[in-house]
Amino acid sequence: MIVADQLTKRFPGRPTPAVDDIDLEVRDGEILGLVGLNGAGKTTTIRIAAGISLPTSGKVLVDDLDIVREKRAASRHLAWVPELFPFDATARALPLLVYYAGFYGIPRREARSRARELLARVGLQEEERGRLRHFSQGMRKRFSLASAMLVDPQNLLLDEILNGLDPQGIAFVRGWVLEARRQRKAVLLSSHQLAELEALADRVAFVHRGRLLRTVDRAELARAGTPTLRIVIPNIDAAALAYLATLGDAHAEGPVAWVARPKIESHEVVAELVRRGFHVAECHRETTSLETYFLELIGEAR
Amino acid sequence: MNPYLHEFVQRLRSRATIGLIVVALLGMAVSAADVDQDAPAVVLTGSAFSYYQGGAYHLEIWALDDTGHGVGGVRIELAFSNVTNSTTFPPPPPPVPFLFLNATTNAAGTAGVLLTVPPAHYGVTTSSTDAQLPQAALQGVLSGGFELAAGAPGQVQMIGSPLNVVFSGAFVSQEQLMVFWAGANGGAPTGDELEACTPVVNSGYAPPFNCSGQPAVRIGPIAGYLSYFPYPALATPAIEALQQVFLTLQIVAPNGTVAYASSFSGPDGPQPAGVTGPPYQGDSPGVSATTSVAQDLGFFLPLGGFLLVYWGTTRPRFSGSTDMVLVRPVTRRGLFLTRWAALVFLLGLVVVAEILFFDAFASVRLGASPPATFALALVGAGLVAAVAFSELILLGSHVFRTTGPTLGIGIGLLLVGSLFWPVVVALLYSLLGLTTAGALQLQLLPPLQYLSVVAGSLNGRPIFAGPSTVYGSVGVTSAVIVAVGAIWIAVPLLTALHRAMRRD
Repeated sequence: MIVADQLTKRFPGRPTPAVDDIDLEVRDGEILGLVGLNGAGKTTTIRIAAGISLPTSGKVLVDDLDIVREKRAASRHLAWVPELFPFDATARALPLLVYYAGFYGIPRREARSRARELLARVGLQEEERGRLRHFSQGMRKRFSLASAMLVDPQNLLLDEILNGLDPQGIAFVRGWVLEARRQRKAVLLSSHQLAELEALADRVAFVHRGRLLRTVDRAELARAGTPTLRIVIPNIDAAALAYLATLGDAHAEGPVAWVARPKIESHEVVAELVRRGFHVAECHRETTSLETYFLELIGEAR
Repeated sequence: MNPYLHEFVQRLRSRATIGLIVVALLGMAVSAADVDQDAPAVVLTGSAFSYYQGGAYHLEIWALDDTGHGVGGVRIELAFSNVTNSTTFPPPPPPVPFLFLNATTNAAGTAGVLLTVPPAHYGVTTSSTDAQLPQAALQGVLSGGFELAAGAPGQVQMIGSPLNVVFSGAFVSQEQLMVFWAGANGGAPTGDELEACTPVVNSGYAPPFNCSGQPAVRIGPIAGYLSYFPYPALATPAIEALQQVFLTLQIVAPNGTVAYASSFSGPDGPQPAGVTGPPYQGDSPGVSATTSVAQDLGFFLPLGGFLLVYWGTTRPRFSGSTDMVLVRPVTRRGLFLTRWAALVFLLGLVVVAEILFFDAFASVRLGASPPATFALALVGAGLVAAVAFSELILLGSHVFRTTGPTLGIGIGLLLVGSLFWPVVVALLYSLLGLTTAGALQLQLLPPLQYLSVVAGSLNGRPIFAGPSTVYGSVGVTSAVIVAVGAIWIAVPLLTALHRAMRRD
């Protein structure tokens, strides 16, 4: 479990804090999505949680261990996949993983064996001796994953982990993250790929300008969305649109009409349209996407 | 394995270490070249005496090094020519042909030659070779030859001056007096005394021949063929313009007569009251070599530290790869101190290797190695210079946070502090009248000069001026030097650590 308690980070020379009094909790067996615009404070929050940056105030507990005061113990409980690729580009893949394994007291022989397994698991078995500077963007991301998987910690900090991955890589990560959830691990996952996040996250935390706007779970997200009817009417005309406007906020683009917050059920709408002589090719209820929700949220925040 | 021990071992195996080894080898090569250039030869000074007895000249020759100590294994060849003076008593013997003799000095540095010829004046030319010291040149009275005079049987003829100023040691430029003296029939002197006085005479007049009419101070008994005395520091009165102080030394026989006397010139012109110092005679080969090597290593050791810090610590931090270590079970402070310890360890190994190499090379090329305490001090000073400069680079990287300024400032500091700083101090000393104390203190300012300052202090030789200086007399005592070294180690380290702990 990862808990951020009144976490604040101010950088020298900047008028506003990068992270401003954020409270966050990532429970065991949960994937918490972290969503925000660029510069919202997602990466800073994750870096503090990883023990890379120091908070100005507040604290982060990793399985009840303070990441600042009990750094060595807390770091054994987490792994971090950074957004960028901060590895020594001149290093070779296998020796670098063996080097990292040494910090966990893993004997050299065992470390080599484990590193080989991990490289094979992320599809880099042919690149054991390859220098990282020759790796493609996707290979680098896979190497980052292997680095995080060296030990099997309870908590995962994944910062824009899906960036730069091909569909196969995305599928691999999706499977890995879901497996982590099945193993009751706590996963903090930031991403700009909101559709993926929507599919993976149990809860989503929205941050904007360093502040936590809201944390919602799947059910809340569904409830919070605006119900809308999407109706395809091939012979649509002004009369049809006039009728739909009596049911709610209606607008049309070509043969497709949308009615927000309809006052009656969809089958009643279809029946009435048919009775009035219109052909209804398609009619179904939509809820707002995570993206729309997020944009509405930061619109309110402005 | 403990994560910090793991990191320590990893530092030793890094590519930065290879860079350090390359720099260390370069430093050794330049040091060796400088030792060769600064002290290409061991100068052997020859002294001799002769007496006539039993129908032959007995010639005793000493081959001495710069410190006045005997050097064995020197082969001396002598060519005796015909009579050179036919007017003296006893009457000239019949001409003799050229006669060649040779002798090799024993472990004490002496060689005896017996020349069975009638008593007369003979010209002698000499040459010498030394298998162990191939470039050694026998100088002094034996370098250009000498005359064997016809004297009374058993009367000792000293060849050259019995009173000499020599270095206190091969690696010390402090001078001492060496008295080369023999008793009747070539025996060791007994009962002779060395005395000194400091007459003041008007410039232009010849110095007093002896201490007659002057209060003489007893220096000590002359107890063997070679006797050594600290250079006497006799108080002198203040003198006016056109006056000069001399140090006059005289050998007084047991019967109170002055057997030999000589004067060394002292200060000329208006002088405050003080003490006479020995005449400046340059640096001993060891001192000269040490000065050069200290300057060489004052550049190469910090350069090695620069590479270690940049490749091993600064560059990974700038590239972000340190973050991938910080996320492991290590603390920020622990990682910082571990990397610092590895830096000190590696630099320590290199400094020891450099000084051991100098020690061995000096032994081969100069015939002597620096004393152990001397070498130990150089190791300490080299470590301070290299570590302190590395810490400054580390601190700079925490201040500037980007590669360009860190590299630029580091290279600038290295060039100015190491190569150009002595020039700056020398210019201020010679052109602008900076005092010796001010110059020494200024030289102590950058850590890159620390090795030179320690070497200069050990040698009593500042690198910017000729006269020997006792550093302690101008406030640069050993305690001050040690304290400055400690400050240079501690302050950048603690400041960089503080900034590292506050890192964003």
